[in-house]
Amino acid sequence: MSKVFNAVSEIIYGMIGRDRVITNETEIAELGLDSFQFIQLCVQIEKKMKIKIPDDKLDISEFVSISDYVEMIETLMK
Amino acid sequence: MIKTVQETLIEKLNDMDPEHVLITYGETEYSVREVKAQAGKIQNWIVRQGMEPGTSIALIIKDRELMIAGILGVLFARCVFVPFEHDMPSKVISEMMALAKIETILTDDLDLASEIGKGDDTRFDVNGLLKNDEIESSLTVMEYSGEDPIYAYFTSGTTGRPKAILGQNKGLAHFIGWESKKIGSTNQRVSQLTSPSHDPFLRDIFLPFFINGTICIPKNKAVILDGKALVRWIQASEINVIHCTPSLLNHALLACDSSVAVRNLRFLFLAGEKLTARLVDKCFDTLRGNYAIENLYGPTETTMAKLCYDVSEEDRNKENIPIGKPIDDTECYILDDDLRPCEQGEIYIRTSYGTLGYVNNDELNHKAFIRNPFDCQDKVLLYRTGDLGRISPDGNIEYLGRKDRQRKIRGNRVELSYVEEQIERIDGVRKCVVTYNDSTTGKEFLAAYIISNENYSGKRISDELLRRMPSYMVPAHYVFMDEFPMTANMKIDEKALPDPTRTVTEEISPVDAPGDFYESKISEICSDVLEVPSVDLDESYVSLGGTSLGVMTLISRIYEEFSVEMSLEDVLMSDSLRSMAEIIREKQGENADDTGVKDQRQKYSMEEYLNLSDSGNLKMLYEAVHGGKVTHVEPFNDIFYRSCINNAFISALKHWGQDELHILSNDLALYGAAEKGKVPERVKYLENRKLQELFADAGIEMQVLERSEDIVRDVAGVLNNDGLVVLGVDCYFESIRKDFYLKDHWPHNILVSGYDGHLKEVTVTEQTGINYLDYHEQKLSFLDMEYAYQSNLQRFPSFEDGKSFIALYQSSHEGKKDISHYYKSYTEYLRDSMDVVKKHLDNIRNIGVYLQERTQSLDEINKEYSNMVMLLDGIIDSKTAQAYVYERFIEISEEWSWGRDVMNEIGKAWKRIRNVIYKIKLTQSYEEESLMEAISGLDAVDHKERTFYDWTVNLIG
Repeated sequence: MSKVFNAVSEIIYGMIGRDRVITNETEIAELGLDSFQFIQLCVQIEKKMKIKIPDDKLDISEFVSISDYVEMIETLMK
Repeated sequence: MIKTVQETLIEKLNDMDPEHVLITYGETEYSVREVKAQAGKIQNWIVRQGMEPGTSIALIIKDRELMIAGILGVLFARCVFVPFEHDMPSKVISEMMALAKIETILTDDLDLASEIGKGDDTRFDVNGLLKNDEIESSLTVMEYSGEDPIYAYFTSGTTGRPKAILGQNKGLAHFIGWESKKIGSTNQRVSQLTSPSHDPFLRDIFLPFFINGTICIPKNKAVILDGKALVRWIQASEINVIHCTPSLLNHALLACDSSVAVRNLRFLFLAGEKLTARLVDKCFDTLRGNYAIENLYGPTETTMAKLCYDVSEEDRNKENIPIGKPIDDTECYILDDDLRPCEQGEIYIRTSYGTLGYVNNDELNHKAFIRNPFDCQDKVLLYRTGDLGRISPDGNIEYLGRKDRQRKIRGNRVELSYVEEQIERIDGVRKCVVTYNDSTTGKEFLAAYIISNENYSGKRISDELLRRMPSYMVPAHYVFMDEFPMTANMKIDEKALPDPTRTVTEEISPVDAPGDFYESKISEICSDVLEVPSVDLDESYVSLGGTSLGVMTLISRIYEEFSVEMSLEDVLMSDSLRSMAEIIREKQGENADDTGVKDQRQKYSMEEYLNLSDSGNLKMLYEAVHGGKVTHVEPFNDIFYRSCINNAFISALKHWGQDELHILSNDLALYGAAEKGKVPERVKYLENRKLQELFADAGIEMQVLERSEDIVRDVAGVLNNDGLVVLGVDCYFESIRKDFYLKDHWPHNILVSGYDGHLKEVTVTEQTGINYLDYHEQKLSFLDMEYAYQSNLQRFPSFEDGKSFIALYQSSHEGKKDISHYYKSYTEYLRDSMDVVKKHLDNIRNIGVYLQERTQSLDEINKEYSNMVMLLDGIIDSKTAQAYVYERFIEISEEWSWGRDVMNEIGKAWKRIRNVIYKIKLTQSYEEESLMEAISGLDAVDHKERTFYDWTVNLIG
């Protein structure tokens, strides 16, 4: 489990509670986040990982699974 | 910092006289020296085998003393011991080992162990190992940590599937330390009655070590199973401390014909099941001596027990023996479903000395162990026990049963333990278990399993119960038994109880019991009042044709006969004469014997019924009050369409067999006008056909009620006629809408598809919050609905053009139309309206100007935030809807995939602007470049929109 994955899942747990377990395969659409919450997640990750997410990647519909999102973040960190 | 278990053990072992008898097993005695040597050998052998600290080792050992030595050895080797009762079925042991990923077995019977596991694990013979002279017997010094896992135990909980719990070193150390303190003296002889596969076993064996005592083990199980033998053994072995379950104690007491002396007994720790006052009473009467009874409570998950109550003589007469107060370093909370402290609710335990949770079951760990709701910084989690409790004024907690032992039968809440206790109060009844069933016959019923000295019949018991409780609580089946099947850890095995419908039992419908005084009187009175020769007790007063005038007569006759005051609502609330008789019985019994359980139902006020003038009204009111009807409607969650009212309309349409395109292809979205200095208009929709017409075309009749004076009656009226209601409400009063409830007034529409007169609630389709596309069926109380409806009427009279109550009925079954029909009507309408549509495209530029102007500074953004976001959301939703429609049109012509893609791109560009604004709002950091770039995207949007419409002109002519 990567550092980014942990950070992302912890933030999401903070928003929706721990009733379901988040894995790499979890589909973002199933988590029930609205677009505002998604931006909140992005802002938190930017702070934590010290990166800037490009504006066109702030769209929740760009990502299918958690791993898609995590990969994007990891790429930005390189 | 608490000492680890090993450190304390080593200290004690070194302190004790080496010849001190540490374990007595039947007739054989084992000294400290001997046990220490065995443990040492096992430890050294494990280390020699190269097993790393933390390795789980299964102990399947028949010889109890060897089992103890084995546990010590594994513990000293810093590994995890997992004891199993040797005569458990091999399959079960194999399953449990697989669950906890155990690959090593230490056993004293290799043949037995051969049937267990997969064969690729490692098995070792403990006897062989102990005979091996090459292995050192003195303990090797090792490092241990309080956070080390040290044991694994299995619990089945309510689902029956076993789960493995990993015990923590400091958890065990803490509990045994507390218990030692409680006992206060050393050199005590402690009984060992628990099976090794249950965690109370650890109390039996570790406590004696900590207090320089002796573990006393009966020769074999037979001694325990024979109550008389057990008591004799306790006396002969001069036992000072006993740990057992109430069932085991009961079993022992039952075998005593008279009282017995237990001179040496000092402490009786009871745990694992609810302790009743009756048992305490019996215990004090039967076991004569000077001892304390301690009632312990605690799930395996939080390590041994966490609450303790000192039982005294006064408790013999209590209703409920409390489970007491938390032990050292433990907190206990009673919380409601929203995790708020309350007087009666679910028990939560907070302890730093708990276990390490479930093995390989993150999901369950997350469910069962939650963050401290009162302190988000707290690293210690709270454990949700699944037990219900109540705090009494003296701070003691009472156990009220498993959360899952509260059942609903025919809509009424029943606490099974309560019924059991009432049955046990009957003279001669020794023990009772009540179960809820609905499987074999499909009917719901309660069954009572009774062990009794007296030769009772089911009828006798049920008659007795009818005197003390409402009839729905009285079990319908009675099974008399000599003893109950027990589980391995001496608790009643409910799953092994016989099927009451298959065995020879008496089925009593208490309500059918003939000769019931109240029922015959009521029959008489009603026949009189209704002027009929006889009445059917299963009918209600109203269904028998009773009038409102007649009700007054009925009430006064009841008063004359029973001296009981029935109110008008009591009469209306009774769905049969039998239940009316029941109410009268209850009212009569109220002063004499207060065993009644509070009626859960909300009551209407008398004033509401005072103006009844004819039976027509009464019947309708009765139906609304009593009736119920629920139609399940699939919510529409594909897209947000325009406003919530449309999502409701679309689900109704689809419910009656139509395509969502019926509505979606009827509209054309236009960009709203944006005048300088003003907030731009939201997205406008051109509608091809009016709503009423559109529905009629689908075989649906739409009726608008301007104003309802009695919303419950009107909603029930529509639903009873197989209709659905689209209701305008103010979210402020919807307790299911946490975003607005009691916070902000907000107009909204919900689909009402059901009502329940008993529970006083409606079934509505609602979302979780304003931006959540998750409409789903929820229950809303009548009261909430009334307030929400009224408030919407007052505050938002022009919301949806004042259409606050829309009834929809299916007037004819129309087949689904072909998609070409919708394609045709949409494209024709678009062609005819093209000028208007294009003209509105000019607004894009103006909206861009507006956005630019209002995002000049952080301050401006903060001020104009909600207007901008609402505007953008509306536009984004309309583009999503357009893409959705064009996706469907691909069926007609593949070219429309381009149309869909263009709409998605346009939507993305608008989304980008909104997301940047969201971000700025969150970070409060003004991102000029991002804003500019996003807003400049509108040039491309303008261009794409125009290109798209030109393309459609070409396509459709």
